[in-house]
Amino acid sequence: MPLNLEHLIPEHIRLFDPYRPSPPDAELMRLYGLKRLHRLNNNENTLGPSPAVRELLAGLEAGVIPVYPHGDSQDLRETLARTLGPDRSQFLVGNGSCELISSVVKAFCEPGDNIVTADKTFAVYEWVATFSGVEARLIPLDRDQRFDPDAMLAAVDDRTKLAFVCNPNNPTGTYWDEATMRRFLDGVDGRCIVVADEAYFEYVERPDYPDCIRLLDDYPNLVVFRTFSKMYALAALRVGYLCAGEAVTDVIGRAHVAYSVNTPAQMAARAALLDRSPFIERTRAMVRRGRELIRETCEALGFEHIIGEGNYVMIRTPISDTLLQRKLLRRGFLVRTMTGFRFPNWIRVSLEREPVLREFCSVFRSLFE
Amino acid sequence: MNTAAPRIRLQLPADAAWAGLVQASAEQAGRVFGLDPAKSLRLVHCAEELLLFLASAETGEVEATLRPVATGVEVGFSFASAGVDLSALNLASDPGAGGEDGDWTSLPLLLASRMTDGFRVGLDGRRMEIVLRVDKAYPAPELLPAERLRPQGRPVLAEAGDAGALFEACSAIAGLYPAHVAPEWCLSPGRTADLVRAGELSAIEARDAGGRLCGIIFWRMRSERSVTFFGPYDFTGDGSMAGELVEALLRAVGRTSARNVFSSLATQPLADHGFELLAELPYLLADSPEPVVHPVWGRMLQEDFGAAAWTHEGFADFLRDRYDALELLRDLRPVRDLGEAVQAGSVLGARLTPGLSEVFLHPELNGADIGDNIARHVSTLASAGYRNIFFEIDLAKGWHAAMGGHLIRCGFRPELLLPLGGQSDTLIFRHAAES
Repeated sequence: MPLNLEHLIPEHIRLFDPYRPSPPDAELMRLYGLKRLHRLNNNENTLGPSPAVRELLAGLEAGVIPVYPHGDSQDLRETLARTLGPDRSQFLVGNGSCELISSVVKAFCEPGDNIVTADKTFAVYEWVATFSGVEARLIPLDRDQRFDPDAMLAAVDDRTKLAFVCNPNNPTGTYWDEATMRRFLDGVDGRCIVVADEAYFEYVERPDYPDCIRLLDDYPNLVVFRTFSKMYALAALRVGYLCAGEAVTDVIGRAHVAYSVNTPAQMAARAALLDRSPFIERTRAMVRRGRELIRETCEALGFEHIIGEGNYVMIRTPISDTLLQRKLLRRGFLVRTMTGFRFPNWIRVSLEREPVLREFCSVFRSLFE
Repeated sequence: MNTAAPRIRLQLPADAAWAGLVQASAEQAGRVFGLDPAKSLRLVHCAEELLLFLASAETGEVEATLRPVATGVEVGFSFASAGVDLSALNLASDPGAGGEDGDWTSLPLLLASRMTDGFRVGLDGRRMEIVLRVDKAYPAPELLPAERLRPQGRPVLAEAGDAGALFEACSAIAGLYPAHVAPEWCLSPGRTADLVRAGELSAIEARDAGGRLCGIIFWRMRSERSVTFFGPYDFTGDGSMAGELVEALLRAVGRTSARNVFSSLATQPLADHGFELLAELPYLLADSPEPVVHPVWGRMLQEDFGAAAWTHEGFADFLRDRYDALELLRDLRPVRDLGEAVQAGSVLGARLTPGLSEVFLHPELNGADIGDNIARHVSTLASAGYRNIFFEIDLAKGWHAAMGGHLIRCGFRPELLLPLGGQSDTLIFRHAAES
């Protein structure tokens, strides 16, 4: 009997296009006949992980594998509390930020509700809302490529449950300073949950950039996301966390799957937090140097570029981003196309170690000179 | 939760005794789904003739489905296929070609196919589906006068969906652009509005501070993975809207399932917007001694990490050249004659655009007579005055690629490769009349 799924699938699932990750490195290298491949597409920190994490992972005993992890990452939450200040009951740990986004949407939204975010930002807010049957209200960035606080406030209505602010924004690297964040939170006035996604928090060195965890006492509707995938270089382990008021964290925890973060991930995240080596400072220096190299290259070519916070930059090119991505891949560099971020003909480049970026800039220039 | 669109389903034996039930269902469905009496009658005849055909072919149990679509109503029959000859669905079919000895069992199918506004045939495992579409009759209102304008302030772009706004857009396109770059549905604004309402066509318009229409761009999904667009139609005197409309199109489709976008009717060069020129197709038009050139502009929307494509020696070199030019990695798999059995009669689908003297043929069902069938179609269409005859195949399907030899022998030449234009890459051949 043929399987007819059509009458079983909700329309928002039927219309949803699943994310397609790129093939594994080995497969790409085989397909393209490459001897080496540099991934500049996922904003990973290839300097990492930090020395303490390397040491921990090298000594990991097989005996931890047959045993379930802490279901609620208690030790890690305790370490987060000691390191960052809030009580451990205010932290919730997830299998990367994406799981936390899903938990927040599940906890607060039902069909007919909406979320408010930007049109040109991390796609997962929009995706999770869409495949949950929740309207995603996408507000254009302002002319400085920043989230537009006034337009977002204007979009909030009585069915708005969540507002997602990616700070700094991926992919533009723009951010709200503390005054802007506070003005937005005051404007929301508790009508919905505000999520400040600080995935790239540790990369920002600007004095006016807000640490939203410090704002939690003033704004009980605020939820702060952070991740160990970026600066801490634990992307393969998938571990992120949120911090909010205890009541809000409790509600999100009800919609959150326990045991989703494995033991090595929890251990490595603790070690990363406690590591006092100059790993973070070395990473920041690498990123600063990377920004200089990209700026010089773009200026030499006369290409528009956006260099903001975070370990990534954006470049506008005279050919389609997708064609350029294929040309670069044939030469051993994988970059992120930006048409899917609604920036047609822009690419996003992760800031890597200097020798790699020098080679990238050389190849990039050779394509246009 | 019921997530399916409204539809009527009948399960019944393929027996002429049930013709009355099918007729009554079609009549009521036609009326409820918005057809006028004359068109409802066509739907009734289509449904009846299809059942009679399936009865004569002794297909056993069948499922009939009636459902509304954007511009009309579809009636479909699905059944377990056992070599049923559907060749009467061919545009170039002539069951009486053998005189009194001709095969008249397909006559009901031929009659049904001639009363429709479109059909498709599908084969899913051993189950076959024939779907015929009857369109609503749309009035042809006198179009509004149009002139180029100077925008007041910075125009605002927004989705277009209102029937009145679309009428205005259709009028402006017809008034300001040559006929060969105006989509045929523009001549029927009601049809345009229905297509947009049903989500089969999308549009973004630009209006200035005075609410005047400054431009519009249309697009539709060509397949699950590709979008094709019409325009940009820029109604300003200085051509200031076209670029913004193209950028708006890319922003609109950039985060959808579409992986490729290309022009059906382009109004200007698009290299400055990251598009690549995929082909320049000279069109021979009835009212012009010189051909007009239709450029096809396209670009990928998502990253492409390679794929496999079937190929045939008749067009392998063309494919290699195009893939190299587009920097696309494809694993080319040559088709081979495996000696497998195919049914006798093939079926070709046809999409006709008389205003452009254009026909797009595509294979619906393979058959032993596929080469002759292609030749019959070319002959019939050329006799009917069609001067731009294309044939498209999907390189995901080995049996499509295997038609390469037949196509070359019939005078077709590969002209246009559309990456991911169908299930996989689409290759479009053009018939060279002199051959």
